[in-house]
Amino acid sequence: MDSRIAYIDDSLANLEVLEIILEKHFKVDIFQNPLLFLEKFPSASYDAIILDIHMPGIDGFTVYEKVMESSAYNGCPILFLSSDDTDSTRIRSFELGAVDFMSRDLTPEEIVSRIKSKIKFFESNKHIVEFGSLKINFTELKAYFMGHELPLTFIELKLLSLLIRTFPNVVPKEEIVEQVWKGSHVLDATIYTHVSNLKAKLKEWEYEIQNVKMKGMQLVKKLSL
Amino acid sequence: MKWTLLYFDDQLDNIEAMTELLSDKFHVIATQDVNSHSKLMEEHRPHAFLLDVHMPNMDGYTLYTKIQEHPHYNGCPIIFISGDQSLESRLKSHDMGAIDYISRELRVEELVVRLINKIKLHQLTALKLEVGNLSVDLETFKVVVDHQIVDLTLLEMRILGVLFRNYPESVTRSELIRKIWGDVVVKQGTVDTHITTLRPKLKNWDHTIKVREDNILIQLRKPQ
Repeated sequence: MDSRIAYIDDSLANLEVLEIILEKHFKVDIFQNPLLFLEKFPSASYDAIILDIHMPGIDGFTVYEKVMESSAYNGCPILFLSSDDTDSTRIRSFELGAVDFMSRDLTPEEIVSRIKSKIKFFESNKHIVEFGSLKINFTELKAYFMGHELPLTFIELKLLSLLIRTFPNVVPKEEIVEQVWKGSHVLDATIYTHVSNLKAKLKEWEYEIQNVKMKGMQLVKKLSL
Repeated sequence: MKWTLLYFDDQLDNIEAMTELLSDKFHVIATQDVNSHSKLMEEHRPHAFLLDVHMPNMDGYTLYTKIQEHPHYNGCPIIFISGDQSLESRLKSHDMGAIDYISRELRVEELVVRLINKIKLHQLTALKLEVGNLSVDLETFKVVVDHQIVDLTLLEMRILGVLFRNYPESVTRSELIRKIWGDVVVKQGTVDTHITTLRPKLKNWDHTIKVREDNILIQLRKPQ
């Protein structure tokens, strides 16, 4: 499955030329207007964002900051692409926290290689996990449902993370007790109560928690109506 | 506080030059001996590795793989540095997944910024965090201080997480409140209450949470 990337540049020529190259390797959404990108990105789920720097109105650095501030940001790599390959511009890019700065002089092969490399790097270090409308940010230790924070107790968060990590397999009851209750003695009724509370909070989720008799629990995708 | 950098290079003059240039912001542990990586990784907990590419005994790419596969590898950034800026070498580095490939021609200022950029990126996204003898695993929610498991509440883990991600810099109470409680209105004093409850649980930590007026940060604990 191809990764989906966003490329924002005020120059139509740049957009068209690079789109042809990038489309051979990724699904590409191009944006000539950064404001349109900022409107679209919360509902899209990009695997990488490529930003031009010098744009009239709102520049690449500002777009970057707005993405980082947004609670909808999924942690994907953000790379700058610019013909302004001066020391000070590169330093500013890295100081802001961008993952990479690519000069427009780079060969198309290298641009693609760098984007792929950063996507792969972030894929293997996923600190934000999206599962349908649910998002768990493991660095913040918070869950979000349809963009809004979903308040969960620590036990609920532990249960949910375990189920997501094990999906689509069944988590044996022993493992639930070990991971969530640190192996201490816990009544079945207690486990049931917590799972029940969790299920109630996730009624509208595309997935549901199912009890597997005599074995444990698992996450299953609901059949669409 | 300086970041610890483990630097491998076969040329002594590169080692001397780099150590001098970076010693302001980094505690540089440099060696020409590529095979010492295992011992060095056990002795030091680096915040980043800097690898020369072309070395006679073992090239940088091979060393990169050995570091990643080492049981003591803590997930920190491994960065290449080389005078070789050929497309072939750069592509090889990107294809391996290396997080940065730096040219020796760069100004020190940029070299420092790029190294710190990668260290901070790791801090912001890593699921296993370490400061001194405290480690936090954000996937299993396990907190270990001096080899012993410590029981923290969700709020305590969130507070520790924010402080870790900003380390060694401080956060203000308002920033902490915003990051942890979001839009919920919380009294400033609540932060202090949680930190007061948290500190005793971390008494065996070689660092501590310092509160300086409005600034809160993690600092090395001063010997009594």
